[in-house]
Amino acid sequence: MFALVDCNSFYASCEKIFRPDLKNKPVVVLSNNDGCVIARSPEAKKMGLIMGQPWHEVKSNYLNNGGVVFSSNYELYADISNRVMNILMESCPEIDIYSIDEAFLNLKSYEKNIDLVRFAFDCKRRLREWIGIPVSIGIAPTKTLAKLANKMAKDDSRFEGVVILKDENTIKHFLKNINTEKIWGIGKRMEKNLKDIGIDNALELRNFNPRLSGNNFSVVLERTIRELRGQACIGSENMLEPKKQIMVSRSFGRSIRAKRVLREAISFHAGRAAEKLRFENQKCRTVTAFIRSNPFNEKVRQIYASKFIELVHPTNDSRIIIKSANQILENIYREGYTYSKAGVLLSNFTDNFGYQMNLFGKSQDSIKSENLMQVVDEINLKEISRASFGIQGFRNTWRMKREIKSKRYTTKIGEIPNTK
Amino acid sequence: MIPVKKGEDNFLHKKQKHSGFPSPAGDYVENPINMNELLIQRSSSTFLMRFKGNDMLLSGIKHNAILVIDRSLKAKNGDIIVACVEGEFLCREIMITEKKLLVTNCHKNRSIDIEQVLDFEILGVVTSSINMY
Repeated sequence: MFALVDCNSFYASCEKIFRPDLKNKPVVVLSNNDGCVIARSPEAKKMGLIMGQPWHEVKSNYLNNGGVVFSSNYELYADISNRVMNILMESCPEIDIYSIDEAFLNLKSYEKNIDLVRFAFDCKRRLREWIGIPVSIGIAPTKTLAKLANKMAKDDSRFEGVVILKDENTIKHFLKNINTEKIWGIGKRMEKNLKDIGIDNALELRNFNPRLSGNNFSVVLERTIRELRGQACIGSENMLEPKKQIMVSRSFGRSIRAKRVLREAISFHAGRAAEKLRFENQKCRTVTAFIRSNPFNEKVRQIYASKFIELVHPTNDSRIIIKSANQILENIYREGYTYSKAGVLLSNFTDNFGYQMNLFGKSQDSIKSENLMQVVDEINLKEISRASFGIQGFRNTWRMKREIKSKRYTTKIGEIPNTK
Repeated sequence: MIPVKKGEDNFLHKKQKHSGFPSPAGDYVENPINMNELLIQRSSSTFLMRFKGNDMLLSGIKHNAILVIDRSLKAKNGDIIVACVEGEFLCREIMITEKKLLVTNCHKNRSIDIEQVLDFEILGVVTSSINMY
């Protein structure tokens, strides 16, 4: 059996932990640049706010009705997420962390000795009391079914946040009332294809044999069907692959025309990406950079420009990566457009150990570069100061807006909450 | 939670090249005292808060003291706790007898009857407080 533990309105719940005054108030969290709504507390959902809705559309109505709003505070969310995962790990060491707010627990080794209902409610109570995060839990024989059970636990308050699908008949009855679109890995388009051949709900999909149908369905669909039948096919290896590429990109706080400012932004992103690359102990051969206008603004001329450079030697040296990204920028920049986003993508990795400069080991240059990067990383990690490269700029006028951000309550001693 | 400085080198630990005699203490090297180990039992459920005011002076909690709060502990009679009381955090001693009381631990001895409070929830138990001088 697998349990999927999913935090309810995670970002909004994090914001409420240290704000008892917001207990039953509507809270929403906005995306980078305060662009749109990315998390809603149950009270905000009731007010009719929709996921992904542009903030400026709902702002005045929401605030006038007593709603509270925050910019995203990733420092806080990351720390709270860590705590949630650690407490889950105490209950069940076999854990696959699927995203910042959800994790699968593999209960195979325990399920004979524990009462699943009690286990689930214990987990839920702990996370609520020990951290302050409400969760929903779905338990079923496979991950795909656990995900469906979790959705049910979340949507129907009668279950008090826990749904367990165990015996065959319960599962069949349950699947009959589920649209195929709700199933993990099946999107809107696939749902339509399935409808065309007469499959309307999850139970019908479960009984379907794709090999006999003559249609060209993917291996993924076959796997999904097996999962619906209760045969576990999705292991942890499918989920946590080592990183194959690193992307750093941000929307700007405002529209940008000047190449000088773009240069700063691209260099900053390239530097961050190189830092992440070193953290993963990897080197890359390909550097891609892109800039684009705001696709949602119909009034401006649209542009999306991107190019990549193949490096002769794999590297994780910030200087080389920043230089390459800037060469690309020189190449793709067009005057007369307004840009709203820039980014850098590193790909084509070789790990740090797998590659040697020449027969006799590392070259003098590469050792020098490694030492320099180590010093830069250490300065930045310890927050002694911020070591950066000149071209990354110091003013950073393009930086994103996070104007209504809450404090970093758990990661900065100067920002811990007060009590009387 | 509480930053113990990482990356400070323990030179005896490393097989550093000694220019003279090898250190006679080399076999007795231990890790330095770790304040986190001392103050925190379960880091995932431990939070820090700063105490404001003089209401807990007799418990040794001064203005601006840092409180270490473990939310996984169940509050017992006589514990110092942090509670959410009508939308505010409040650090007090809790008395659980025939009545449940939140006691202000100073001369004034004002206490709050929990039954009379509309909105009350215990956040966690204060396991230690750090006064900075």
